[in-house]
Parts: sequence; structure tokens; C-alpha cells
Amino acid sequence: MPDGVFRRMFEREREARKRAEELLESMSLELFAAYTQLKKSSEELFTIFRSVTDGILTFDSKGIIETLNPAVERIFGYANGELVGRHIEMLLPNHELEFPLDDSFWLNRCSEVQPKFSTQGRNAKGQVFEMELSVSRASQAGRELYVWIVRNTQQIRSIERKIAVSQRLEAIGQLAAGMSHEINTPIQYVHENTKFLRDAFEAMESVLSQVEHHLSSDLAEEPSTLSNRFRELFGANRLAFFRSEVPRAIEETIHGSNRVTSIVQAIKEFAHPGNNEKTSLDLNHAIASAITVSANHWRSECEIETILAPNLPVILCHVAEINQVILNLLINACDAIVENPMRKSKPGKIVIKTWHEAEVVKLSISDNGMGIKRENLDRIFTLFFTTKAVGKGTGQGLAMVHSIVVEHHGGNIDVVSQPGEGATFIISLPQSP
Amino acid sequence: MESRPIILFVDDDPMLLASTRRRFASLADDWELHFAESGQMALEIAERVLPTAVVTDMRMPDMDGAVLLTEIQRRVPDSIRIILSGQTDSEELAQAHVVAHTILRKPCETETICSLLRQCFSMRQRLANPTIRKLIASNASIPASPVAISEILVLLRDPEVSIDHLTMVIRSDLGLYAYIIKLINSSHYGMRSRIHDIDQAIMLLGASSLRAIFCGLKLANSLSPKIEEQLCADVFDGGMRLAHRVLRLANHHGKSKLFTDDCYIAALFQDFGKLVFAACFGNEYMQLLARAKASGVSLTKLEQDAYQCTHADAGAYLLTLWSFAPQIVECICLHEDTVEALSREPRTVEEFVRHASQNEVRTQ
Repeated sequence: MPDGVFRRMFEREREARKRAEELLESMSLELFAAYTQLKKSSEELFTIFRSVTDGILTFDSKGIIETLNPAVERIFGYANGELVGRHIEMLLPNHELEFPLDDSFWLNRCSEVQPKFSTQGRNAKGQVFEMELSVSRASQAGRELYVWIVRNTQQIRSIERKIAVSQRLEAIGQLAAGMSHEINTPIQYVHENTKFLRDAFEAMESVLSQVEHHLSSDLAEEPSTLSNRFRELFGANRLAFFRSEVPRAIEETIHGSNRVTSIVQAIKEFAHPGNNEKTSLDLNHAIASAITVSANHWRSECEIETILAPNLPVILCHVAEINQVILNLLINACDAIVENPMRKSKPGKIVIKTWHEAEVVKLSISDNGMGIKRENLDRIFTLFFTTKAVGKGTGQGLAMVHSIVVEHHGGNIDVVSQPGEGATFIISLPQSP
Repeated sequence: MESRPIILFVDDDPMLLASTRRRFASLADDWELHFAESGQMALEIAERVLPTAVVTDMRMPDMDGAVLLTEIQRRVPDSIRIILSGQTDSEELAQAHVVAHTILRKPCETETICSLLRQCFSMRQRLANPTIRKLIASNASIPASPVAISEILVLLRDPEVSIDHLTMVIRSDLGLYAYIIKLINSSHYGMRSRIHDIDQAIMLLGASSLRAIFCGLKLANSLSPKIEEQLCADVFDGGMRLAHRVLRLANHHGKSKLFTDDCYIAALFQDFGKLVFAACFGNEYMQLLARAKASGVSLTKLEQDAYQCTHADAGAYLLTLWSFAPQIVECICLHEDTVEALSREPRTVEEFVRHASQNEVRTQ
């Protein structure tokens, strides 16, 4: 082989090798960069996975737990690594285990419509607690995996409950001031009428005793003298006045004491702390009580018309909560009337209606107050949102109404409002949720 | 002799009105009674009959008690204005204090309303001059030293103001002192017995309540004649001297705390009427005081000539409107009348104060 040819071949060879080396180098650099990148992002993902406060957990179609983050162990109270390889059933309370936890059980729970639901979990100590769960299904390397995202809602519930109680106490406190006025007025006239009746009886007694005296001692007296004497006696004791006034005084006293009784009754119903059990409630009766206890709030501001369906079916509910809903809506309606800048031109009016459609009982409260601005409609049920002046509203009322109706009773709230014209709140409650 | 008093009762509850009508029926010969179920109706009646006194509910639809009384004050300035309220919200009532002489709380016995009205009517009778009746009853201002008033307003502007500091200013001015007593004894503050102890009163009212009330008074006071500081100081010093003297006397006789307190207040407010006159007539009354001092003619005589009543009558009337206890007010209104020395041991509040006062004259 001539030298030149050999050299050329060698050169070519060298060239190619050099290129290949260069290529290799750049490839491996890329690979390294990709690897670094991959490592970094996987670390990132892992950190996120480990640090989120919601628990993330995967298990296979047999229910054997494969992967989980520390939040799961925290929520269920297990030690590090204790859960891997164990069955998912140990995280659920016994009553959830009536059905086999097979594929179809979990498939049913992978809902697009309701991605998360409230259920109960069981921790390492066997305690049952409220949790919010979402289940999804994933395929990995040809096999099916289920993914849980779980959150402990026990604490949230207890805070909500505390807010609800404080809100109710606040409402009762406000009412108490008004109620003392409601009671003081009838007490005043019951008291004064009773004193009047005492005076009246004294006068009548004095007349009667004198008549008695005449009848027993002075039988010989001329009938005409006798009648004159009686007439005089009646006049001096204002008998005609007492005879016309006493029946009225008695009626009004009874009316007044009935009023006090009904107010006290209504307060008792409202201040009743309630318990966790649902009991049956006649919504019409609850409305009448709410109107009574809040009378001082609305009486000088507006009139209330009630259109209550007779034979309204009773509903099964937390009575204290539903009472609070009605009261909140009623007081809001009244406030909307008071705060309406146009109120001078139209008298305030609240209309309360009840009716039922199939298994659902409905209640609407309409006012002709200032209405709700369109931009606020979405926010009225948000906790701490208020348009009332500082010190007048805390923004808790409607948020509580919402959580009571929707979350606690599976009901519904609709709001219709024409700004400047008024607002209508419609509450739908299932007869037995 | 004046014609019989005319009383107008206002309440939106017809049953309450009915019970009031029944209970007052036996007094129909002495008093002319009218009843109205709303503010509007009350104004129409008031326009026609010019009531001597108006007793109204606070919370009523369309027109509340405070608004009604403001209107009544404008149309019938010499009227006696009382609120009878079931309300317990003191902020809401703070406003009403500016126009109402007394605020009573439901439930309130007819006897209480009756005796208050009777007391007011009898003191009112002593003021023969209708202009003076008008001036005293319509004046929403406090007969207090302008310096003390501005001082109290500055203090109340401080949200952290101490009660001690407030008390110090208030108790060194008779006008403010009397006004605080009026506030605390308006029974909506929940007190059954009358209170005349100023420290206790201020404590019970609290700074925020005072702030609400004094804000309403600021304007009223800026409209009436300013009282000279020297007169305020003189009346206060004189009252204080007598009060301490009667205190020693009553203690010496081993009188009860309640009785001694009454004596103390009656003595302290002895010449309160001078401040009332000064608040009504300003400079004119100051000249009258100077004339009495220079000429040697008795002040009572000069006052009678000019106003057909004495400062004792004027002071007693205002303090009655402000629901001071009758035994105290009577003592104040009589203090210029009786000249004869007490021949026996003093027994009543009035006699104790007179005794102390005559001793004072003698020792001077």
C-alpha cells in the first residue's frame, strides 16, 4: 500500500474517530445534563411529595399500600414505614368495611363529578375521625394503581362549630337587649292594670258592703229613697267607669301576660343549645318564633307578611341551626330595609313564604330593602365578608347560613336580588337528609 | 293660680296607653290628660293644647321619642319632657338626654311618674314668670363653667382617659356635677335608689357613655351665654363650705350615711340657681348681683323684682327636672325664704342645712 494512501486512510480514520469522540462527548454531556435535571426534578417532586400537608398514598388493586408520604403517617398516627405493604382497610373504620374493598368499590369512588368527599378514617389508636378523601386511578407499567389524597377535617369542623356557637351567642346577645324592651312594655301594663283592678275591687267592695248594710238594717226605707241612695253611692264610687273598664283591663292583662309568655317561650327555643341529633321541626312554627324574638328589631322599621303553607311536612334537622338560619335571614332582611337610602319613600316590608315540592320543604324571605349589588352576589356567603358598617356586622351570618343549609342539611340556597329593589333568599331543605 | 297642668302621654302600644289612662283616671280632676299613639298624633295634640308635660316612649315607628321631644321643645319650649323607655341601649338614649329632662325605665309604676310630675309642677308654680320657665326648661345647656366644659371635652377626646381624671374635673364644677347626677338617676342606668355620690356615678356611667352624651351637649352649650368663671368659683366655694359644715353637724348628731349625704348635696347646691340665672341672662344677671352687693338691697328682692322669682326657685326647678330627690330640692328652694332661727334641734335635711347656714352667718 503506497504511503500516501495509507496516510490518507489514517487521516480519514483519525478524523472520523475524532468526530465520534466529539459526538460521544457532547452526547454524554447532554446525558449528564439530562440526568442532573432529572435528578433535580425528581428530588423536587419528592420534596413536594414529602412536604405537602395532605396525605398522598397509593395502593394496588388488592388494597396493598405501596407508596405514601409522611403526611399520611401523621394523619393516621403511624410510625415511619409502618404502613408500606399493609392493607388499606386498616385506615378505615369498621363500618366502611361492610363491602369488600375490591376494584369495583374503589372504581365507584373515582368520581369526576365529586372529586372529593367527606368520610371517616381510623387512626393507629383506633379512633375514628372526619376526613376528606379523593380517589383516583392510575395505570403504571400495565398495572392499576389507586391514589388517595386525604385531609383531616376534624379540626376544621371544630373551628367551624366554635364560630357557629359564637355567632349564635352574638345573635342571642343582640336579641336580649331588644327582648327586654319587648317584655318591659307588656309587664308595665299588666302591672298597672292589676293595680287598677285592685282599686276597682276596693270601690266595688265598698259599694257592695254598703248595699249589704242597707239591705240588712234599713228594710223600712221607701223604695224611691233607697234607689236614690244607691245611685248616689254608685256615682261616688265611679262604678260606671269601673264597670266599663274592668273587663277591658282584664282582657288586656291576659293579652299582655300571653305576650310575655310567648316571648319567653320563643327565647327558650332559640337559646336552646341543641344537640347533635336531628329532630323534627315544624318550619312554620320556627318562623313564628323567629318573628317574635326579633320583634324589637323590625317592628318600628317594617311590617312582616307570612304566607305559610298549611300542612307543611315536618323536616328532620338540627333545630337550633335552622332557627338560626331563619333569624339570620330575617334580621338581614330588616337591616337591608333600614340601610336602604330610599326607605323614606316606601314602607319596609318583609314577606316570608313556605311551601313544599315533593320531598323538599322550601322557605323564602323577601325584603324590599336596598338589595345586593351584582358584584357582591358571589361573595355574600364568604366568611367575614360584610357590607355593613364596622361594628354592625361581622360577616359571619350568611356564611353560617350557607354551611348549615348546604353542608349540614344537604339543602340549597338561592338568592335573587335587584339592587335597590330588594332581595329574596330561598332555602330548600330535604324532609329527611 | 295657674290653670291645671296638661299632660300628654305618647306610646305606640295602645294597651300601654289604655292602662295609663285607667291609672290616671282618678287624677282627671287635677290634671288634663291626653293620649297619642304616634309622634305625629302627639305633635298635632301638642300644637292644640300646649302640654305642660310630655311623657313618651322612646322606640316608635316613623318618629322616635327623641325626635318627638326635640320637636316639642321647639314648639312648646317650657314643657317638661320625660322619656319612658323599655330600651336598655344607653348609646341610643344618650341622644335623648339632650332633649329629655328625665328618662324613666319601663316597667315604671304610675306612682313614680305621678310623684315626679307632681314635684315638677309644684316647683314650676314658683316661677311666676313664663319667660323664665321657658328659659330653664328649654335650655339644653349645662350651667357650668366654660373652662370646665372645654376641659372635659378635651379629656373625653382621649380614648384612654382615666376615670379619676374625669372625676377630678367634674366634682369641681357644680353644673357638671348636677348633670352627672341627672344622668345616673335617669333610671335607665338600672339603679333603683337615687345616687348622689359623684365618684360612684361617674364610675357607673363610664367614659364611653359620657363621651356620647357630652358630644350632643357641645353645640347646645356654645349657644347659651357664658357663665363667668368667678361666679362659678364663688358659688362652688360657698356650697363647699356649707356642705362641710352641715356634714360635721349631721355627723355630730349621729345621722345615717344616707341622711348625711342628702344634707351634703342640699348644702353644696344651695346657690346653684345663681348659675342657672347666669346661664339664662348672662351679663344682665351679673349686674344684678353687683347691684345687690353695692346697694345692700337683698338679692332676693332684686331677683323678685326683675324675674318674679328667686335664684333658689330657679335652681330648685332645674334640679327637680333633673330628678334630684324631693327632700334635697325642697331644701334648696326654701333656703332664702326662712329667716327665723331654729328654736329646736334640727330634724329634717332642710333644718340641718338651715342650722349650718345660720351658724355660718353668725360666725362671720
